[in-house]
Amino acid sequence: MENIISMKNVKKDFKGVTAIKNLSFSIKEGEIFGFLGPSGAGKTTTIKLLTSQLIPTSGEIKVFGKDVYANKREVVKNIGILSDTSGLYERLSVLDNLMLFADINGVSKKNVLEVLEKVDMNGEIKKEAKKLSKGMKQRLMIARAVLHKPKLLFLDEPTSSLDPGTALEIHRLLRALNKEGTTIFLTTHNMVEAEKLCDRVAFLNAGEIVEMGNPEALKIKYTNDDIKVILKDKDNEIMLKNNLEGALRIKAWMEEGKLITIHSMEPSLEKIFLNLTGREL
Amino acid sequence: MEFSVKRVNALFKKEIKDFGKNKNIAIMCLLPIMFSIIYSNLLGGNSPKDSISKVDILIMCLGMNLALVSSFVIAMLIAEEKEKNTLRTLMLSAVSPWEFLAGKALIALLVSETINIIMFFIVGISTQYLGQYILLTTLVVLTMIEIGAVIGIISPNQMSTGVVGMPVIMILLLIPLFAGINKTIKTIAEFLPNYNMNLMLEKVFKGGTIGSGNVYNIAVILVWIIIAAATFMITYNKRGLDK
Repeated sequence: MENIISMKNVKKDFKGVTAIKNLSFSIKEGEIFGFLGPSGAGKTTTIKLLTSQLIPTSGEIKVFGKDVYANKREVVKNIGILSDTSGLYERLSVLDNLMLFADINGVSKKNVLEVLEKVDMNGEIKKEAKKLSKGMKQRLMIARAVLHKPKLLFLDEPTSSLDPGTALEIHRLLRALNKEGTTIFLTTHNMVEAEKLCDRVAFLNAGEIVEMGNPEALKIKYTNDDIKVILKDKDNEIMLKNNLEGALRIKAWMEEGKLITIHSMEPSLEKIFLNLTGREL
Repeated sequence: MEFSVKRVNALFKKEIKDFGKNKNIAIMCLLPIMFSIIYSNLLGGNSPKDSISKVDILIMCLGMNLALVSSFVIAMLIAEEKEKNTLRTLMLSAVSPWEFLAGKALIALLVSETINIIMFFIVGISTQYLGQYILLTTLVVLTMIEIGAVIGIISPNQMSTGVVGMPVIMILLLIPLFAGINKTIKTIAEFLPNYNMNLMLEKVFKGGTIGSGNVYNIAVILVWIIIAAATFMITYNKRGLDK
């Protein structure tokens, strides 16, 4: 598969302060790529660089295989974006907000109603945007971002203000879009979301990628030798080392019929990030 | 240059739906009409002995409409888009700067010209001049809309459109008013679009016709239209980028 995004040695300075240091990565067509990092790590700056809202101090940025600045108009037509700088027409209804962008992108009203159903807002179509709750507004902005079935979707913390049920619906919608061929670039603080959705994740700290890979592969890479055992007659968990001594003790408990569960101790993505950077997400 | 009538139509439809619900803008649109009623009743009259002629009243109200509606309505509409982050959303969609300007300018032009015509009838000028009046005012309305669009794109929010735009608009409106008292001011006024419109309107209302003698007046207005449009495009593209 071809690279849909590629950044090579990208640096971005703001008045002498370096926000992005020598960033290099690529995303293949059809991937869901998670960009993880604490506030101020450079996640939003990266999205702005990739969507031509910022010009890099140095380096090369290609989207759809083309220089993002030289082909700005062509690039923006094929992307969808949800960020903290996205806004709604507050006096217009839910349907009118979407119909504007449907008309701009040549999308039919039938498709608009389908998307509204997917984000569970078909009961709110006549409601003015200003009367919607924060979560509802977020759903409407997601609907608008995916309305024209973009080839590439940028989502900056898409489920941050949503309840777990709606977040689950959004995850389903994103997976369905991804199956239809949309590549997704996602920033999130929610590690469960990253693990569930992303094919690959990158940890960003102080403008640099400190680790990148498949979430499962990363967990195996950074796993330790500990094994957690729970026995019938013990209240607490017992921690063992993954060695011969540990295996013999487990064997003995099994023979005695005392063993309930054995768990390997893969670290969470959050723990891996903490170990790598000393910072919490 | 990219331009799609379909996308302009989509933006214009949105403006129409939004316009009726925007109370601030509705009040601003009513002001020139209210003042044309007040001025006509207090100052106007049919006899030449009356202090201010109908033509002067119309030109005065026209100036108010050019400032409040043609310039400030579009400035406020664009500044609101910036304030509510919808402009950024449009900039990251298929909409080009020309389409965005056309969508906004159409609603401002429609409203401004409607008010101009209403004021024309309120003041009571003979309808034989209506055609030329619409033609001449439309040209200057277009200029003022573009200037308003630049003010809107520079202003960070609706409140600041007054601070950013007032000096520019005041210069444009006051210089023609004082052109008669000083030669230097008159020379400066000759470079302004509304002063040239006023000259041509006065000529038309006296029974004259717009012809080869008015090439300079029309050229000044057209140059303003081109410069203001170019300034908007440059500013729009610059504002699309963060610092």
